[in-house]
Amino acid sequence: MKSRLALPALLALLVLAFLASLAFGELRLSFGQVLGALTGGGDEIARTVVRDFRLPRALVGAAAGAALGASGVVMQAFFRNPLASPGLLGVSSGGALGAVAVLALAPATGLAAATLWALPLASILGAFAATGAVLMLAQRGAGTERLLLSGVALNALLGAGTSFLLTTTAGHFEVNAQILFWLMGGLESRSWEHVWMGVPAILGACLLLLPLGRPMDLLSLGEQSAQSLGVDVRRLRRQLILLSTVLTALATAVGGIIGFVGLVVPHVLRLAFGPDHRRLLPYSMIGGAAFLLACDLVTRTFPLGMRLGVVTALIGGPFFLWLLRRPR
Amino acid sequence: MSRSSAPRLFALLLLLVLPLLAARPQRVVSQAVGTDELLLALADPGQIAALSHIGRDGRFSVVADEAKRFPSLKDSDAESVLRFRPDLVLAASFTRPETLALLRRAGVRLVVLDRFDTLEDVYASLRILGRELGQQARAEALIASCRGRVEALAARLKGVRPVRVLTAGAYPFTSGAGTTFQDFCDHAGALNVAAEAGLKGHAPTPSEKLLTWNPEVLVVSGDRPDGADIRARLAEIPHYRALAAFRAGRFAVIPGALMSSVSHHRIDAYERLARALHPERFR
Repeated sequence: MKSRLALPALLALLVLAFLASLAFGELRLSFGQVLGALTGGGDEIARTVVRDFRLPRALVGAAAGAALGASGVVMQAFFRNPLASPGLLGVSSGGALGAVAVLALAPATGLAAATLWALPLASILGAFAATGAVLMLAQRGAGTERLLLSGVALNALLGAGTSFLLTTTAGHFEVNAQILFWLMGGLESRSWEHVWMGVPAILGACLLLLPLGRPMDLLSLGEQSAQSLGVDVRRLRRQLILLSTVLTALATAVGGIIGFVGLVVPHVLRLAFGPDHRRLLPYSMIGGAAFLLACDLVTRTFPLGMRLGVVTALIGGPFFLWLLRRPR
Repeated sequence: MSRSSAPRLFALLLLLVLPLLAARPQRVVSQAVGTDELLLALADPGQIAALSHIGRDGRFSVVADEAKRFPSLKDSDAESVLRFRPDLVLAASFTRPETLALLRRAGVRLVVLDRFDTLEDVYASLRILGRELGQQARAEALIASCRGRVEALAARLKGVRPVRVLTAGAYPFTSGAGTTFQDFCDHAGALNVAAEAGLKGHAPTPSEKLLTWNPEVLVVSGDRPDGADIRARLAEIPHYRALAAFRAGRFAVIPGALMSSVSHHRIDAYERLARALHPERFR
């Protein structure tokens, strides 16, 4: 496909997915009812469903998808490895552990009950702590390989921590169910609070990331080549790690661990429109948003209880395997 | 009766009774909270060797204080159970199948109770347990007293309009037909709107459809009697926030351990729920 059509096509997909998110759900609402609810008319149930349930959910979903798509591009460029994804440095696992710790300790501290912000904030804190730990671990030597290995080790460690907390809450059905939310991702029960705590910051980080497309292209030639072409590689790497951490942390804070979006979306778009990061970055943001909304639509229209992380993995998993098997 | 024949008669009686006494298990281990609650109600204290590892945790067990007087299992696995050299092990059908298999292989007498949904199920379990423990009379007396309480409650509630209720938890799961909660409703003058809408068992609460169910009261399990903790958590979930019952603060709080109790103690939950929903009948 020619790239001139790419942006309008992706935007159209996103708009379509967003409108579908407002239109479809458990309750069957007519197009007129949805429109009426958005403009303040209609009956109270339709208004509540569209404005308080579906709209914040769609906004949070789109933002999380965009964050993960963009973060995936950054990670793949940073490691110059097509298999890199946002969770690689333990950011998502750190975020999940933060939230799960608050949940597991909730009966003792009453923290989760105290504020709606406790869980997402703990998640963001956990995510940043994880990145900080990886950077510290990998600083000496500073090679990407070392960073990668540190990330893998940290991921395992954080996963173990979460599993441990999960076992300590065994028997506490409700806490266990909430922990599953963080581990398998989801957008149910997202509210306007989640919109405010996630969407503006994700938007901001995406905007800061856009101008880095060109230096990322140069980085893909190799660090030395990039350096010789005038890129401050150290600074660029710091910026990339920071922004991708912010994006992944925020996506995890509002939606739990959602795998595969950051892996799949950049690859599909790279195959379709080429590897130029100046285009790949915005495309992945828009594509990620549309993809996550579409996956969320599947969880909503399928029998209750289908998890978002399960849907993205069911679509992303086979794709990942195909990528691995594809002749280079 | 001559003086010399008395000891002989006593010896004879002892010979007759001893096998009966010996047949009564003397080292019973209960592996689940539900069986703890039943066992404590029927057994002589001397018959109990150990209770389940969460039986003494007030969040899950109605009999936590009583259970603290007995040794408790370290874990719910077979080894923890066998360490007490039991002559009878009580387990529930929801015990892990591997554990049950190991216990069976170890050759101890194992009784697995498998019906918990209604009060009749509890009565059946009490009878089985009464027989196993040699405490049939106690079992029948307990059942009779339970029936008395339930009948008294039914008499109080006669003719009330059932209140439309929903169980609400911080994680959106609710209880439909065929659950312990449905049993509570059936006895407490309540109509479970989730069951009315066709939900079976424990299922995720549908967020959008919930608005059309129109529950009048939210039944929550909480450790604080005023339910302040659980209300704060429910407030984080948009679909509860939108309900009229939530906004008006119409909650009925049942302690968590009672809410999940599968023994005769559930009658306490019936009474609490009935009192909360129909206070005018309890003046």
